[in-house]
Amino acid sequence: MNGVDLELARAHAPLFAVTIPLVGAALVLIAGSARLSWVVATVAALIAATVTADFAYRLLNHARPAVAELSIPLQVDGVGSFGAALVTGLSALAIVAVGAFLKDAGSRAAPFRLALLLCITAGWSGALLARDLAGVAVSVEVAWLAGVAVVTFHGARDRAALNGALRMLTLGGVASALTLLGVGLIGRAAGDLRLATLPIAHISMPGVASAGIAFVIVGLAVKATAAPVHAWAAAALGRGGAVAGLWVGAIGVVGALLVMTRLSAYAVAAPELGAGVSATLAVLGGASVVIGSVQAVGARTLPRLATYACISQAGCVLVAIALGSPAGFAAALVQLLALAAAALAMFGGAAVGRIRDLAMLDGFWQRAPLASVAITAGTLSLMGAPMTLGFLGRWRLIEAGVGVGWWWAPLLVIIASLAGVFYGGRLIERIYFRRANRTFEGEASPWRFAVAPSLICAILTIALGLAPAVLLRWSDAAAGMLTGAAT
Amino acid sequence: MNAELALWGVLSAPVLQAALVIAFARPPGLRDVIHIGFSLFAAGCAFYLVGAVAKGEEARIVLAGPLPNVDLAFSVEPLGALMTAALTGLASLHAVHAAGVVRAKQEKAPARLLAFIALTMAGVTAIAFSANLFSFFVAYQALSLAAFPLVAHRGDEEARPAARAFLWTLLASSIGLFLPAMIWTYAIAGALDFQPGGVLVGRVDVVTANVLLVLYVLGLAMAAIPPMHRWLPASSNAPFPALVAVQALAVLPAGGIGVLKIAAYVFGPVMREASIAATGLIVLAGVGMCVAALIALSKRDIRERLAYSCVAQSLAVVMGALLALPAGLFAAALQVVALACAAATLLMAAGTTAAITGRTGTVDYAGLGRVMPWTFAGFAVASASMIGMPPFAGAWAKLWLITAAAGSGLIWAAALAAVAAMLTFAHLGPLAANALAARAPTDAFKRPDGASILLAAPVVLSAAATLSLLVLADPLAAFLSPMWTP
Amino acid sequence: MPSDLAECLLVMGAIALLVAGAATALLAPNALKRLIGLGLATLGVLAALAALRSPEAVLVAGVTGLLGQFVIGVAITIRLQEEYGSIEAPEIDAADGGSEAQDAPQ
Repeated sequence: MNGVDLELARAHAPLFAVTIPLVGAALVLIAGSARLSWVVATVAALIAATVTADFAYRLLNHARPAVAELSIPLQVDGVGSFGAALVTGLSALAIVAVGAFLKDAGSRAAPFRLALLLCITAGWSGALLARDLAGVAVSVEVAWLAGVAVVTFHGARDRAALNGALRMLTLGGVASALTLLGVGLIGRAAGDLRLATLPIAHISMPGVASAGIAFVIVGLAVKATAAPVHAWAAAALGRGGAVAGLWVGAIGVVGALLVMTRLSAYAVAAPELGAGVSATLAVLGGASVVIGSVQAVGARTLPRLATYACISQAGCVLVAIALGSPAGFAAALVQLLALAAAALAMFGGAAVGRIRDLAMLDGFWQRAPLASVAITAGTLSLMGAPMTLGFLGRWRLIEAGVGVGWWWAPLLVIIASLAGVFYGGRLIERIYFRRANRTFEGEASPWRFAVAPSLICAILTIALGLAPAVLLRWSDAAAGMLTGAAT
Repeated sequence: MNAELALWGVLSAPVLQAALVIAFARPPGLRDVIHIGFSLFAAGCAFYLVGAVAKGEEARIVLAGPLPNVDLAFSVEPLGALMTAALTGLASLHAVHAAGVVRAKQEKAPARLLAFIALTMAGVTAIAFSANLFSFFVAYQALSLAAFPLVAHRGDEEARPAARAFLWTLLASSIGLFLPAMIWTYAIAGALDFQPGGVLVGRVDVVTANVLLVLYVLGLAMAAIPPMHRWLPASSNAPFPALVAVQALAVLPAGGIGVLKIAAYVFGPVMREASIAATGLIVLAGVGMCVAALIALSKRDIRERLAYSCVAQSLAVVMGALLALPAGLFAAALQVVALACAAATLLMAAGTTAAITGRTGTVDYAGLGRVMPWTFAGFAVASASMIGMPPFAGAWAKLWLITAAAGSGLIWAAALAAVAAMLTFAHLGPLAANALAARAPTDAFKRPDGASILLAAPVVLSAAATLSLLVLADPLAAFLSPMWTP
Repeated sequence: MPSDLAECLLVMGAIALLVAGAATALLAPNALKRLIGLGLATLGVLAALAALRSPEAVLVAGVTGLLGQFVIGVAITIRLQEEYGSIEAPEIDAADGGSEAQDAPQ
């Protein structure tokens, strides 16, 4: 490939971010065997991650990358590019880990599951790069339904997953209906569905538009496991198995939160919508922190604990978005990276050790030291321990909150951290200071390489917590390019 | 060697020590040589830093820049240098003693025990040299986590809940109270650096100053101010080497150092604005001292008695720091050193006694001084220091404390300190006297050869250290003066 | 609200259908009834979108979503029947050992 071709390809990066996973999904289905389909899926995910990371890098370093004019309704902005790079990067890591669990639901199902995983990646990437609200709604629906199907497939190994899938489908379906209704109302009130025009649109019916954006936010909140609309999360992620944990619990939740960040960034810029959006997000954020923290303290299985801890962290993200300032959006992006890394480390570590009940963690350090390190780093980050990415994200939230006089924001952070001490302390005590439970001594990863992505996330969690300068620069740049500066 | 290298040495030696002790857990001889050798090296670095500070040298290490405008940094200043020298010096003696105790008592997982003792020393050293509130907070959390395995070391049904209570109290108070205060300070001052004269000077009103002071002091649960003192009695079932680390050398002194740093480097003259909160906290500390000493009197197990006795002594540090006078700060600094010397001596003596005789009940101590004269001579000296009897270290600290209280017009605070001293006499004096004067028990030793030199010598030497302030008190006042003279 | 009264009434009716469908989808114990509720809710939204004169793309998105939900929903219902011998939520929850009640505070 010569330089001109390369530049042409790079100009189509946003398109590739969506299409490469979809093409990969088709190829995976053709590949047939479980191992070959996994190789194809991994290659597709890695290419998508490379393309989006390259594009985001150029964009966020103010290199003003060329973007091809397309008939497909895509739009590039700071949050979308940052988010797409995050989602595709996470997907590449998660698909490597998934290699160890390919045959959980039977060898024949493996290509279908892998294709669905790539659809999840494509869906969330599409939602982050879509030009208008209809594109966002369709992309989110694709990602969500693929996630439901992934949980359903795990029913072959654990039938309780089917119950979780049904809850996911019904609650998510109602959420999708609300989102669509919201899109319709916004379209009616603003006369346009394009995101870029939302801040400057002449909104003839502010009440209708406010109701519309509230419906869209609540619909997305269901998929982001925000409390109190998170009823599907424990059932689906608690019993959905390792693959669902990684793709729905980590990537899905992060994807939904990123989409909420992006939409909110456009919506708060519209004078008629800003206050309502902010209030809705603040309420959801506060409820998520409190309810997620309480439920995490009471959780008795590791997937549930990880789920509730992530809900609490998601609450902090929502509060940061609710601030509506560039500092708030930058804080949200840092927290989202922290949440993504921590969730992947925890869900991945738990999957490698086949951990369900907390009792299975007793002496886990002796059975699986690397997975233990991953879970510990993820837990510390979710606790908001100093020198981790989680702490950095919360600190940024506090700075942004105090900056606009939201003194209750630090209070929420402290509630999340206090609960984190309780459940995190319990996990760490079990892993390192209890004797190994003989019942589970035979339980180990079918493939030790599967822990590598979790370890990478654990290292990221600590490394970026120690030296965050580049991340902070990029998150600030992304938050500063909210309204399609690069189009 | 220069000051920066010595700072690197004193901070990193205990961490390396912990790693090597785990790596060379066997043979035990090599393990103990590493443990003692690195402890001595850290002490050497700390004493070098005292000399460097006296000569006006400065040193600062920046490990990371995890937050905008806030570094993870450590710097040398008089308070940190003095505290580290005292604590690492005592830790060298304790390293010898711990090597003896783990052998005599055949403690399980001795390498892990020694490694975490080293890590707690790393934690308290980092606290002492922390250059700003953020670094202090990080080191505080790290120290809490490093001390947790020491309390949980036995791993039984008694140790686990105690360790959980220990960790929960320390972390929850630091996150729930100290962290908000830190955030608030950052919001007000835009910086978190410790600086003589106080970072808050000219930036806070009366209400803010009072609320911040309460948050800081109660958030520093390591200082054991009621009701945040639960962790200390909870830790009293840990093995003796762990107890020395927790109650004498690392965790409890870290609380004292923290209160001092907050009073001197965050508040400074602003303590006058926070006089309402300071008075309330002094009442709490004074009453707490008396109640803790009274509870100690009721305890029949030496570990529990010493735990409450240490609570009472630590509260004297808090009282001194809150008096908002140079004399108070000086008294508090002396009290940290005096408490470390005396508590380390008492706990090491009790550890020697438990290892050799298997006795931990206070009634069983009668006459043991006849068969273990060196150990109980040290015990008696340390008790006298805890009580505040001249010429031992505790006396100078108490004298300055009472002077500072009287100077502040808080005669009642001086009276409370005096009552606490009398109650300390009541729970330690007769115990020491009875051990030395009563008839020797006939079947004192589990083993016929009695205490080895590894178990007796550190007790005697650390007891001797309580005499140090007799000659050092005046030079220390000059040495520490930059604390209260911006 | 939309100025045109007919449009307003149509939207209100569609939203009523959405609410009824959503309530059924969330509260009905039977999996099939939940699916039907979901379908009603989405139909209500489609009606509302049509009344609001939304672009075709939005309507197509709604219809596609409805189809996707229906296909996956039927598959889940069949698998539930195969695995549990029932599609009633209380029976399924009971068979899972009360997994929803697992997280009582300790």
